[in-house]
Amino acid sequence: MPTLASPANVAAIAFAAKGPRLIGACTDGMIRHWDPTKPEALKALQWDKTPQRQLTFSRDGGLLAGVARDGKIRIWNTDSGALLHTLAGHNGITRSVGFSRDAKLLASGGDDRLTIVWDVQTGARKWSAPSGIGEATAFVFSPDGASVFSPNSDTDARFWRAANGELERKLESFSLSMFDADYSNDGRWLAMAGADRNIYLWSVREAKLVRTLTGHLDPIVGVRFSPDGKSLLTSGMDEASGRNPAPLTLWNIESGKSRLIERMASATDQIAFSPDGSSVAWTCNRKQVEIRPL
Amino acid sequence: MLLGALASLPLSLVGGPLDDPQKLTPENEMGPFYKKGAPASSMLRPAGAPGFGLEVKGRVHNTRGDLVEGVEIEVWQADHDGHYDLKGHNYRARLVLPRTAEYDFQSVMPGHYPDRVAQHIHYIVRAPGHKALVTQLYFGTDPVFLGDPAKNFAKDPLVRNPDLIRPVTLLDENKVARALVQFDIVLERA
Ligand SMILES: [Fe+2]
Repeated sequence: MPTLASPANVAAIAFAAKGPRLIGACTDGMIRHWDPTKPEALKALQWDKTPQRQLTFSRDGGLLAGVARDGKIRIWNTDSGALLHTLAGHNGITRSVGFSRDAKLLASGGDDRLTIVWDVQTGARKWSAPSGIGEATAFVFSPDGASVFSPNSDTDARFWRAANGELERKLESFSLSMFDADYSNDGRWLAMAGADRNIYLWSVREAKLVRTLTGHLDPIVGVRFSPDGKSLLTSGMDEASGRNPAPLTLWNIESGKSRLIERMASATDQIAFSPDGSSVAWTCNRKQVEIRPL
Repeated sequence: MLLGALASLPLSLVGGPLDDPQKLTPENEMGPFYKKGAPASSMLRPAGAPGFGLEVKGRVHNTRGDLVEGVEIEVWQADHDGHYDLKGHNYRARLVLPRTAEYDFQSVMPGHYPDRVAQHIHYIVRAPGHKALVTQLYFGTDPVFLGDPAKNFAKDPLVRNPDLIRPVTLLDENKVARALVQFDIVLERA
């Protein structure tokens, strides 16, 4: 499979639910759509010229959320480039955002130490709740949309009821921060990983951590379940010494065995499985998207 | 060389506002490498570790100007080479302050690391009846600020307030040079 080319850095990626199509948000304010088998983009459309601190796609690539330096969250339709909402809710910097799987809700965390959940259709705030004293590092909704999970750089992690913001559970057992998390499509597992280099598997039914996968030598910044829920893709941090450049690793969650897919140019949380699970894609905020068959 | 710029630093620009006990110390992000369980100690530097010696001291008030009782400070930083210890607790400590609300710790000047422009030390300051403060201390001698932190603080985009960049005093004791920084802190009452 080819490397997908872009004239500007690709900051975020998603596979479209209806494929085969890969969508990238680029730093020149363009959204590009590729056929994953062809290097040149099929289509490119302007969405915004405001520099964005952070960009996040909805699961199916249909919506893009950006957090700008003004602290506001903007949501665009990736097919038309149309701006749907500008959400101004956090006092100060917005650190992290995440869509629910059906893209009806968006959760965000800011330096005001609040988590806010927004109704994406109306742009209205549904609820807000106090979070940790550090930065929210991710927001991950359970596949049924009932719960939203968020780790914080203060090392605690919280589950909220997505409907009303009731705090369901707080995990305080980590000594270093988790940086990313992902639910399996069947909703049975939540995988989380971060600065302590371990990958933790949380059993949703038992509501506890049941397995730890080890092997990364440096902090882990990205975690994604394969569509069948049997494998995990993890992305490691670039160690400053350069002796262990950012590894992209595939894990079998049953056996705990892993294999190195690639040593990437730099650590990235922009990693994705194709909807059929046959390949993975990543971008390191460079002028390309890499795709590898598994 | 690095400390040579000190003599020409306009100290009033970098040292003024925080000396006013009424002015709340600005917040700054916690960053990714906070670790729970740091030892209660005022020595962050492991025995024999390389680096330019650094002592940091200060006092904790609230915005009414009162000394704060029951303060605990957690500090953590990269080593002289810009690496955080994630396996153990080197260059991490918990300081339990006496009634005088004074603190003091020994370390080395933190190194620069790839994803951060400026040298810094992370702080969490907690006290009963006060809002927890998460912030970072920066150094007026950091070459990143080109000798004028008030003008050049944004060279590191994460430094959003030049009040957090503190002047550095060079001490020469028995021919061993080390740096001394005063970083007073003002908390907001909860
Ligand atoms: Fe840091």
